[in-house]
Amino acid sequence: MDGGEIGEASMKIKLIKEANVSEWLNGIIKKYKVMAPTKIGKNDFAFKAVKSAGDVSLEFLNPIISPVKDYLFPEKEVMLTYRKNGNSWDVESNLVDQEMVLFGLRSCDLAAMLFMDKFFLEGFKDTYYEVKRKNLITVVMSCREPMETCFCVCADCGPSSKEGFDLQLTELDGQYLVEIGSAKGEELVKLGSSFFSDASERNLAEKERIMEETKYNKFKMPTTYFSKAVRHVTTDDISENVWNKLGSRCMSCGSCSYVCPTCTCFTVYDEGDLTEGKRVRTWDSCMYGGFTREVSGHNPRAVQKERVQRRYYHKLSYYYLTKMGCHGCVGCGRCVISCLGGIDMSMVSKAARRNE
Amino acid sequence: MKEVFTTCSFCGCGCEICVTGAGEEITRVIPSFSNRVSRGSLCMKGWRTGEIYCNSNRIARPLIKVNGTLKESSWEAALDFIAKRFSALTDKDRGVGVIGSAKITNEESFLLNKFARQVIKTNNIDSAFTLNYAPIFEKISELHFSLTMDDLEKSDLVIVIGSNIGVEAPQIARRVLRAVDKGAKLIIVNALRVPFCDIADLFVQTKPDGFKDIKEVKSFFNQARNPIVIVGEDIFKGPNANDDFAAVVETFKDKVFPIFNVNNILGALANGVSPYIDASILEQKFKITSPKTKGLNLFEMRDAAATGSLKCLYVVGENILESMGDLNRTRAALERLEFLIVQDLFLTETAQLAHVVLPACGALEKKGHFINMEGKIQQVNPILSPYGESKPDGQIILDLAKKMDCPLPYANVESISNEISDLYLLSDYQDMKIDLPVETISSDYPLWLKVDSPRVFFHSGSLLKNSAILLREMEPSVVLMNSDYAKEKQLKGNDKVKLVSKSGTLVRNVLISEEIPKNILVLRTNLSDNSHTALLPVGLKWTVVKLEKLQ
Repeated sequence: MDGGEIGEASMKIKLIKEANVSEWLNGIIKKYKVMAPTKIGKNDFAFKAVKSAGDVSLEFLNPIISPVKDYLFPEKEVMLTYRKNGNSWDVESNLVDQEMVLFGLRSCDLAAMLFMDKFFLEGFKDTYYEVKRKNLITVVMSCREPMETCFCVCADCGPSSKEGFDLQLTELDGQYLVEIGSAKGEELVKLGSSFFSDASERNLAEKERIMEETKYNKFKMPTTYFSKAVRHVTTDDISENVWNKLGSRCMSCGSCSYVCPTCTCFTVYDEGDLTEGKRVRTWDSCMYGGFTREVSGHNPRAVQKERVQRRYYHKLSYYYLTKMGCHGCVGCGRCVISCLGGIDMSMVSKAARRNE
Repeated sequence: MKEVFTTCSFCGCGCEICVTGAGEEITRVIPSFSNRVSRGSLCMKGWRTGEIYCNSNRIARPLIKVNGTLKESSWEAALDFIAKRFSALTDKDRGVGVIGSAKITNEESFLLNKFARQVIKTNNIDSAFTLNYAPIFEKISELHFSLTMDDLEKSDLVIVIGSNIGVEAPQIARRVLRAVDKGAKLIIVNALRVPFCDIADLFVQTKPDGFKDIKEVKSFFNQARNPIVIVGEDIFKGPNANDDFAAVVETFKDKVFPIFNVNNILGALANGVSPYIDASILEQKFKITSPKTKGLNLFEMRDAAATGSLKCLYVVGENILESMGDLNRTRAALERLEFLIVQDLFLTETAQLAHVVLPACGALEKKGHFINMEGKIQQVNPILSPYGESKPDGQIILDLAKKMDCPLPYANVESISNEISDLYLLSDYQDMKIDLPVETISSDYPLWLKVDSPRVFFHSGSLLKNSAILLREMEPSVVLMNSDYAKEKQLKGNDKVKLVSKSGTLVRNVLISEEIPKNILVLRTNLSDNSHTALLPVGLKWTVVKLEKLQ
């Protein structure tokens, strides 16, 4: 983006004591709208607009809907409202041009945002996405305690981000290492400059060590099948039997598409009538038969098995890898949690590898 | 914008959903991650909750029929009209019926029960429990509604009898797959193939009315350590429902897990919305005084309406015209009523026949509790303000009772929750057999017909058809048949045929499918057209037909 990115060579690193994070965050909240992880309900988490650092729980489980997707491409987005006015129409867009700090997102979700950038901003620019994206300031929190469904390591998207963030915080002993990724990030640091001290190469090495340790010791998903799955999907040598079984398990709930932070399909409809109403876009899913059915009634993906197959082809095949520059999977593990049929990236990878 | 956690209002699984919205607008519906049922997942219906309830097709104001047309009115006028018509009726114990809903809260079912017996003074009160699960009454003392989804996940043998569980109860299907992935055996017993047959260890294909003959399955059952037997719609709405379900319970005893594809079906039963609860128990537990006359169930109410002995029907949240079956006779019965009151969210086909329509709030607009198919009590919390001038069903009942000079002593839902907590009636029903039609093929009607629900369905479809995405999932209604049978009858795909059952006829195009046995036809249906219910006997989804080729 146009935030004045700082190259890796010149990446500045700072330290902030854990005890000072709240006060720094309160300073940010005074100047910006901030969305951060908060506890909701009995034991759920969501990124919500916060009024003070006290609302934030940094010990959170990554929410079932990715915060970047939730903000940049929400489940339901009013694109415009219309009202008949004599012989013409009053049309108003619902774009909000306001800076927003997303504080505490995970590296998998940052990777998903970079993926969505390609879809929404390269070639045809989606204005609704663009306006929010240019106003978005990202503060990534490296992941030291991945959930048991996580496999970002194998998608090369975590547990810590390499690029694309404005700031990245990594918890060291009693303090955070702060990597400044852009001028916007630096602005945030300036809001609490008295809390920050310069970090050394030794601190950076300590961060790398901790992240390596997390990578090797804390992930429970079988992650080593991923690259093989890419090969099998690309060369299309997975037996029909595998897809048949997966197709029988799929209940076409659409959860996989909804929770996947790199799934960007939507449908547009109008609410209201011919005098007044709004145009809305809402998430759609390629797991639905109606998603591809043509007006004639013909459906190029007529049965569920073909829809499941297509989804994994889209996520993993080399064709999309070259087109988008990365896989359509960031290893966030949300499909592992959400799929009613127990079909998820790790299970498919395993099935593809065993070809049974 | 605020977030509210509440219970999903579709099938009987009872997922917890987190709804974000304000006023009359929902912006987001997501599954709760920490809730033991939803665990971060919803089915297609659950995800579309917002679209279904925040919908401009909702009824915004009461409607009164004037010269054959429903016209908007004030609440005052509508309730006055109802109270006057009620007071003019004699023989209310016989002449008035009340049909409750499996979608309203426990508190509202309790109020409806009290309203029927004490205000109207009739025992003619029933709900979709009888409509969909009548066979359960014969064995109700042996079922405890206490097998849980966790039990299911821990089992080493899952037997699924008469259900396409992925469609009927997705969270149950999810647990079955979990159990299978952990090594459990899966046996499917069904007259037709279902998707899970592909991953099952054994598929026992029975005759549509032959679920009793399952010896092979019994031996697996006896060897299993921790078996569980899921029973679904093809038994409860099958051609020999009572005998089949009784046989299943006799064989598998307390391992039988009946699944409910409607959310608060147990809540209606547990709160006495049924003619089969003893008056002394109602008196003792709920302090409800019942009249002496024996109550009719909803099938009997329909028949009484047809003969003219039932004159007035108060229908709360149930599109009986389309959910009961035998469409033509049901319509004639409803049209013969002197007074029909329908309380609902949408102007259903039943509501269109009504003399008065009362606009009710949906599940996102009220507070109370549901009971899921495991017998667990779950909270329902409001997030939206009532649509238009609609009111929660419970409030309408209270207002109506007051208007009829017989006020019920409750200020709000909380006071009712306190009164009924732990006093549910589920264990108070006695075993008894409900008359259901029994279908058999004969030379007159040589073919079985299964009316198959769409890939996504909920009860009569009156809620789901308000979602554009769900409607988009619907495929044209056709009749599926085996190619051998088609050849014999010189039929090919797209030919037009007429299906004739004992109760009605239906014209559909043919679609050939090799998965279907030779003497069975499957009618694929969709949400936008319920004309197929003309073919069905009341309470069933299976029937027998003959087929005529049309030119």
